Amino acid sequence: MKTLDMEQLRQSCGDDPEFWAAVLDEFSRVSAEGFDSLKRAVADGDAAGALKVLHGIKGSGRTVGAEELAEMAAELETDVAREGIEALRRKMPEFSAALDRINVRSAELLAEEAAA
Amino acid sequence: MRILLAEDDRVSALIVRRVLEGLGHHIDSCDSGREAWAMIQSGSYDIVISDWMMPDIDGLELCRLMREQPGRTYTYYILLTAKSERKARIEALANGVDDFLVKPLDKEELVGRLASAQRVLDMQDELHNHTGKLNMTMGYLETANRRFSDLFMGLPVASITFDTYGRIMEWNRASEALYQRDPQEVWQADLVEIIADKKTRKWAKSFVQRALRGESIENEECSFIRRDGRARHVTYSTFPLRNNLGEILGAVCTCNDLTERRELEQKLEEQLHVARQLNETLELQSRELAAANARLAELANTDGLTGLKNHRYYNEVLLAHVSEAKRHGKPISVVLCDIDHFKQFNDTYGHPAGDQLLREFAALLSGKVRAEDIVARHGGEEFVVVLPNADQRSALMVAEKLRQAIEAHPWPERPITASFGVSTLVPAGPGYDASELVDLSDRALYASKQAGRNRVTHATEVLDDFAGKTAA
Repeated sequence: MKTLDMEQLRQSCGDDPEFWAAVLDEFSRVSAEGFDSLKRAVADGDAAGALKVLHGIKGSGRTVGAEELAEMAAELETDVAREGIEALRRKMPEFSAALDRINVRSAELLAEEAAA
Repeated sequence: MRILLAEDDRVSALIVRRVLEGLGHHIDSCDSGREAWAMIQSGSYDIVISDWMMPDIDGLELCRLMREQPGRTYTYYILLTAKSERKARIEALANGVDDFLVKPLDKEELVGRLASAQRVLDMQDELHNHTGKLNMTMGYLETANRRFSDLFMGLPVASITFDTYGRIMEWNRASEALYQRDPQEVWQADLVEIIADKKTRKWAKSFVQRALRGESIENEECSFIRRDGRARHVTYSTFPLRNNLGEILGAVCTCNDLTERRELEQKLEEQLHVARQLNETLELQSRELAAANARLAELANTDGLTGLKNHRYYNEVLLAHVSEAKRHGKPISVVLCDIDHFKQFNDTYGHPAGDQLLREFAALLSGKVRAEDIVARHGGEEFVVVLPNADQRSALMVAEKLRQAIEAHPWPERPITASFGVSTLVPAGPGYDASELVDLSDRALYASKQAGRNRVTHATEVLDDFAGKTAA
């Protein structure tokens, strides 16, 4: 499963790297804020709040081509809905790592494009 | 175009905004349904692009609310959704959604969907303009229709339209007055039944059939007995009504009520008849009056006793004859005669015998002169005879003939004689007037009396004698 599906990013934003940069930057902020919210939800035991955040990350992740993170959010949505907030608590480290990967991949991509 | 974007996913919102702004559209955005609803109510948007899943009011509810707003111009509604179930989409379409944009977003699809929205909105605009024009045309038509209707209803001549079955469609006020039926009563009624009675039904049927065959008919006359029992005399004209293909849709019929005119003509005819009768009576009376006048004149000119012309008459006639004789250079003579010893006769035999004598004497004189000679009673027992065209010799012969006739006549009581005085106007002689002639005859008569009566004397003899006496 790809960290960043370029085909999807191109489908959503076209071929303009500047546009990619703006979109990936916004995604980075949104997902970071989302992660903070998930942490709070876990701490508070707020499954409903967690589901809402996971649904948002799934949607925007799919839009930008953050395939790995989006699918992880999708799985977590199912798990939390079925098992409760504990399912999220277990996966938080994995989720955090996936978030880092997409951020790194985004930075690399933008650097490559800048160099090109 | 003005576009409202309602999307709580900031990444999708950013992409959509960037793409649409790149195409030159104006974008307002918000991230909740409630906020979007407030913006829709206060602003005017060509397109609303909304996420399906939003906090508070979701995209479907927002579309439904917007569609329920009365009197708003059409707004194109695109729903952003990850949902691909058929049922959900059908529900969305039923709630007024025009199109869907499936997540994850596809830039080209977004552009394509926008182009499609633009086409629909352009058509919507065009439709709106057409509707405006259509409404304006409908307005004109309505005005024209109302004007025609007012004109038709107000025509002073009874006017009716009927369809191809001969059923009445329109009926103006003059028709109401003529037939004494209101429009509700005659609507869709058979025209023949309304305008005709038993006697005229056959004609009316033919009239309607000919009109519906396309014939134009002018002034065909028909009478009928109206429901108030009064006979009406009407002339009917008609021409067919056609559609733009030339097919006959019915006909217009005008009905000109001649009743009053006919009645006036009838009255006039009666009055003329009376006037003619009066005139004939007047003429008759006038003729009778003229005859009476003539009889009166005759009486006024006639001597009551003898039936001869009187003194007044012969004076007038003599004036005219003397003037004529002078104008034509012809002679005229005046003979005066007086019954000898008439007073003595009267004293002896009485007045009735005297009157009888006068009548007989007059008849004798009248019987002895020419038709053109005039015999009149001069007064008392004195008579005058005017002899037109008679010179002195002829006049003396006539006077002598009369004297002899009187002397020879078998008078019942005793022999009667008369004395005569004659005067003549001759062209070459003195220009005597009528009264001078009578005066001369009178002097000659006097001379006859003086000389012993029963004789004739001409004024010429007396003039010499008179002149001699005067000179002496």
